[in-house]
Amino acid sequence: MRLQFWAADTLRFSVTGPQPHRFLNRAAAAGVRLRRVRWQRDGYAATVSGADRRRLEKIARDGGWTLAVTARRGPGKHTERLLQSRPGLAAGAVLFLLLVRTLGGLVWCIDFGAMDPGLQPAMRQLLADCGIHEGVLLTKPLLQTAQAQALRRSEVFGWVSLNFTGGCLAIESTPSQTQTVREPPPRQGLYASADGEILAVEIESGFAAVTVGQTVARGQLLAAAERLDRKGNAVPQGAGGRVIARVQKHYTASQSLTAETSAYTGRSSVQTTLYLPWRSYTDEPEDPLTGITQTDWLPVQLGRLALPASLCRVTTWEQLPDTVQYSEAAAAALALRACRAALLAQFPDAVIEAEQREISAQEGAETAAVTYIFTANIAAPP
Amino acid sequence: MKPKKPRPRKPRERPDLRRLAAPPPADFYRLPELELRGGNLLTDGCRRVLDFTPQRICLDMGDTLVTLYGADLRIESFAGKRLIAAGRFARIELRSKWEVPQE
Repeated sequence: MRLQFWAADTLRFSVTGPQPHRFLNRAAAAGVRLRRVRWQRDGYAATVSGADRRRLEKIARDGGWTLAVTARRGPGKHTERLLQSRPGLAAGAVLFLLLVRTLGGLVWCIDFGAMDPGLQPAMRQLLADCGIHEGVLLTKPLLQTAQAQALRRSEVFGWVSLNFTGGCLAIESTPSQTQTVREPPPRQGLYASADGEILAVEIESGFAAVTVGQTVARGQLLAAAERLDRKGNAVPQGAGGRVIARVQKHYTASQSLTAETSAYTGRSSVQTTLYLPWRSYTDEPEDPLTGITQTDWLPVQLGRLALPASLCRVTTWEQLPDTVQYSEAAAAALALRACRAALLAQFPDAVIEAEQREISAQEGAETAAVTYIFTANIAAPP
Repeated sequence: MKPKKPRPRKPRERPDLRRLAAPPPADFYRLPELELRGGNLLTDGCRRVLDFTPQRICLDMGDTLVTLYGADLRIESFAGKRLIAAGRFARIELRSKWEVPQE
């Protein structure tokens, strides 16, 4: 069977019928390029590309003209022979073009660009929650949804842009910049939250009621919110700012030698999911554990060539409630840490100058009593 | 030595800006466009071929009917509104489409 490569052909045809020049007009108006048009006794002869054959036949049929192909030139003797004897070559070329067109829409790699490596796992998880990973056929609505989700859910990035070109999903982001707006201080004074000796008075608004070197007691007024002017009229102004004082304070904490806590058992289970284009394979662990989970996304690569596939590995570290037996030193250290935590909870900006520790053991517990001498801001609203 | 006389400057012809900025004549862009290159006549704006014989090609180019006379006339290319005619041209006749024939 002789193959007809119409699209690659060049045809010479003759048209006959009533008013054949109208056929030329219709063909030219339909976008057919007529070449070498020659007059004949009963019509015209012309040359066209093989791709226009169907259109010409339709025009001739509609107008009542007779179209006869007089000569045909194919893509060449050698090419025709090659295509006839090796049809796989043409099929391979067509398959290649189809694959390029189809696989170009898949995510082959995710480029995080200059993003901080510490933020990349969080971004990766955010994309995975939106259903985007290597091997996914990325559509425009999916990309827009992911970008909106990334902007909404992430407080770390001020701006996130997802660009998908040529199978590579590039993520551009800028860190968020926060600017706090300070509220005007309320119309109330500042009072000492602890006994101490004033080291610095950094009042930003209001009227200072203490001076450096003065010793104040807890609850004493440090900055007033109102003062009388020369005429005796009240001038109100909310007090704000800091009053740094040296404070001596005593904290006590106790730590039992035995404690109930959730401890790692050392066992872990791994659930691995391989995501391929349009399908995924999950390897479930034999005995699922409960505990802390850690998710790792691994892009599949063949050497340095990224493939449209990814491996999601969810590792579960088992945790079970257990009784922990602390040594005396460990219990004492935990008690000391609890004391310091209590101090920092009350005075977050405390700078410890000196501390005096007393540790005593009492019926299966270690008790720490620490006296701190520290400097901190003691100004607080009433 | 006599000092050289300065050569009198020729008055420079200034371009007529008004003429340059003036709009083109009416129907300028609706006139048929014909370009003769060697033995080929390139046309742009050809709406239809009204007649085609080796001695005569009649083209509808909007308001104007262009008739090419000669010998061994042929159409080398015709696509859309571009037509290339070839042959030995003897005469080109331009006639308004709306003109009443004399005879």
